Amino acid sequence: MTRLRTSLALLLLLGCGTLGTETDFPGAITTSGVGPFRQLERYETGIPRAPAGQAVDAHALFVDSGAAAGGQLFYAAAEILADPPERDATLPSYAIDWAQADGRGIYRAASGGFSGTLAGESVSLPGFAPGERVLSAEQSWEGGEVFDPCPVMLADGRLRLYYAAAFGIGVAEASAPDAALTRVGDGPILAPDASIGAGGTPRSPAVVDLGSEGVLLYYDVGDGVRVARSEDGLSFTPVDTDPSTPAIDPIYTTPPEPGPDAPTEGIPSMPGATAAITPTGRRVIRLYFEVPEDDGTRIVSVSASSDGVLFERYGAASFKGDDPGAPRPWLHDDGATLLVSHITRQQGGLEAGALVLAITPANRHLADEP
Amino acid sequence: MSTALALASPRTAHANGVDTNGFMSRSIALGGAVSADVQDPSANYYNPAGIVRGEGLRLMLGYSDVQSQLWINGVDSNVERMAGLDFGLTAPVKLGSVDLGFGLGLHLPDQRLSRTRSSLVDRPRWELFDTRPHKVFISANLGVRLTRWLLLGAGITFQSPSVLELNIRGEADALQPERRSHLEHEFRGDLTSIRYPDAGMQLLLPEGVSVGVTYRGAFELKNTIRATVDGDITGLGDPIPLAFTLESISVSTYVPQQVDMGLAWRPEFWPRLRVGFDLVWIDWSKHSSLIPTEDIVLTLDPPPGLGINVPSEIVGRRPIAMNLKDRFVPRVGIELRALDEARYALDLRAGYVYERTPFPAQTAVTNFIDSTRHQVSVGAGITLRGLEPVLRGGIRLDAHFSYMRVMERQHVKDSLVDPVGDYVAGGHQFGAGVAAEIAFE
Repeated sequence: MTRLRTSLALLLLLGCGTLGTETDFPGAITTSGVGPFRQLERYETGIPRAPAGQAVDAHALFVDSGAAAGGQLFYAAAEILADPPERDATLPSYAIDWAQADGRGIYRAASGGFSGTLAGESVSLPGFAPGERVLSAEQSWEGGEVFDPCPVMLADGRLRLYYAAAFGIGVAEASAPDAALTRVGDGPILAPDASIGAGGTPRSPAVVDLGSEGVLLYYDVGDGVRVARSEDGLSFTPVDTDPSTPAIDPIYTTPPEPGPDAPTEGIPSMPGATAAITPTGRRVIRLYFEVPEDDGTRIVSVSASSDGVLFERYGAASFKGDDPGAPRPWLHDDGATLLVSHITRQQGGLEAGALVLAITPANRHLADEP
Repeated sequence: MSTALALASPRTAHANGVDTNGFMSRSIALGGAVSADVQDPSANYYNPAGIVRGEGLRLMLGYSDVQSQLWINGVDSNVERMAGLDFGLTAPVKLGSVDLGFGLGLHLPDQRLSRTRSSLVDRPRWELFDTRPHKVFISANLGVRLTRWLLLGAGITFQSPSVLELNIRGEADALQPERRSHLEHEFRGDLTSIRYPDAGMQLLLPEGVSVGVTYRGAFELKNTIRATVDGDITGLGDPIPLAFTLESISVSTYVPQQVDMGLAWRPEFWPRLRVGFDLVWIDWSKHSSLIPTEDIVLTLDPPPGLGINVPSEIVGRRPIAMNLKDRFVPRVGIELRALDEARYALDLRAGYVYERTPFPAQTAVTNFIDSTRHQVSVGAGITLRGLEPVLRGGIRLDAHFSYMRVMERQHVKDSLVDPVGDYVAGGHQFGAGVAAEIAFE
């Protein structure tokens, strides 16, 4: 009898064994920065009344590419003409017809100081306050407009701004990110060269400072993304990525194996670059760029490299949706990668463009939804 | 025993969550180095030959809890605690001059009876601690004492793979799906049963030496998911026929065959001391792929002009080799009877386990995380005797605490554009548990 009672007591205890709580499945992890990128929500950028993901409020302006450094956003923009001409019908749907605007200049926007809450704690949000024009075309080689800004913070606290103009790539510097810009020299640091890309004009500079290994400048001349190397960040020499051919070749960016239903790619352009350190301490140079597709749209894709010259292409789109282009990476504090990207956006019936912020890993949120 | 062997499938075998955490407090405190001389109900896992070693009915009830603090890139991996009730019994039976024993072991997890999750190739997870421990363990064993010094045992353990079917039929409105769709679905889930064997031997040698050998067979749990959609898309003019089928066959859990060779020594000159050493060979190299085989067929022929782009082919996933390595796992356990009075005794225990990870660094597309582990454990047991007339026998109360260091490990991807990228993983596990055993005379 004693055994029976003891056994029953044990069984009763056993019956309580399935009590417990369920826990969430772990989320995805992405440290390579290849995407997919998710466009931020409005509550993550903090800009009141702005469309989702918009990086800066630039009402009444045509907005071109932009990039962030030193807490400032530099972007190209132009005022819309009061009586703009008809749009050039040959342009892709995502392209801005700059004939409908005054000459492009470079604007600078400071952090908007927006804040939100994340897991109950106050956090700063990455949206920018409306900017002001800080660089306009003044020199003859600039041909009346400056655009494609690429700001780089120097070790001594100065800011160096690479930019494109009608006849090449130039440089201006400021003593601080928010100080006045002064041109370096009176000509482009990279001008058209008949031996490179059929003499196309260099544009869309993207610069990576590798310290003792020098400075790499990525740019395009219309036939793909190219790279040049410099010791001082001012005097660049084009790098041939394939010495087996007599020509100076652009960077290999062809995707590995396009699927049977994949659209045909056009020529990559508008690079943005960064040198990221992975959680294992490895340095990886990521090169983002836009790719037009034969269906009239464009996407953002990425390649990565150890030396900055030989790249491995990611097979899928990193960011797509509203025809994103001109991707400029911005490494976030916690290992996430933000992307300042140009997208299509209508304003007054005209294609005016906008800058948005996107993030990878896509499951990372910068703020809680109010 | 012959019945048990006959029931066992020749292709599958033993194991479950107790492989990860151990079974019953005393054996866990001794680092699992008990196969040579185990005789309490934990023998149902460590060595079924031990169930015939005792002289009376033994009932054991325990509870163990393992809390994980595992991280990837410094972020908590949210690995669920592994806790549950353990129950075991050993019952000796004498048939004529033959000593037989029957044993039963049960581990009942707290949260659920079973968890099954398909692997997402780009979702890093702690493979050994994510799904594997969350299974019920039921093991039935028989033992026989062939001679005074030779004991044999064998048994079977039950597990359940799953077959899930989902069928959807009807009309889905493309424009107002919530209001105008008429869909019905049918779901069927089968949890079928598989059995796998284990077997063991104990040799009782002179000078207080015992030798044990335990074999645990391999088993794998397969998930089969079949989904079909057969209907029309409406709201866009004429109904557009839609047919979709998905069949996914995956291995959710694979536990390799193991051979556990143990040695225990209770020196005659100091019988209060017991030292145990086990070396476990684990055949990890035969680990099946955890990536499912998927076949997907989509038939949809929308009229031109709707802008619906139907892919000509949807390529499902295919298995990827795991490339695991076989491992020898050493286990050491020491027990000292600190107090030995007429009505009670106190045992102190300690154990250590070193397990080199069988998983390679995840440099390619898979992301099954594991790292080399060091585990130390301590415990104590109080045996109460002379309880008559309340109980003819004794009661033992055990408790243990364990700490496992999961070594930090870097996973550097071969591809610089790997969708997941490089990561560093490591962490700690803390375990504790108690058990009570009633040994009837």
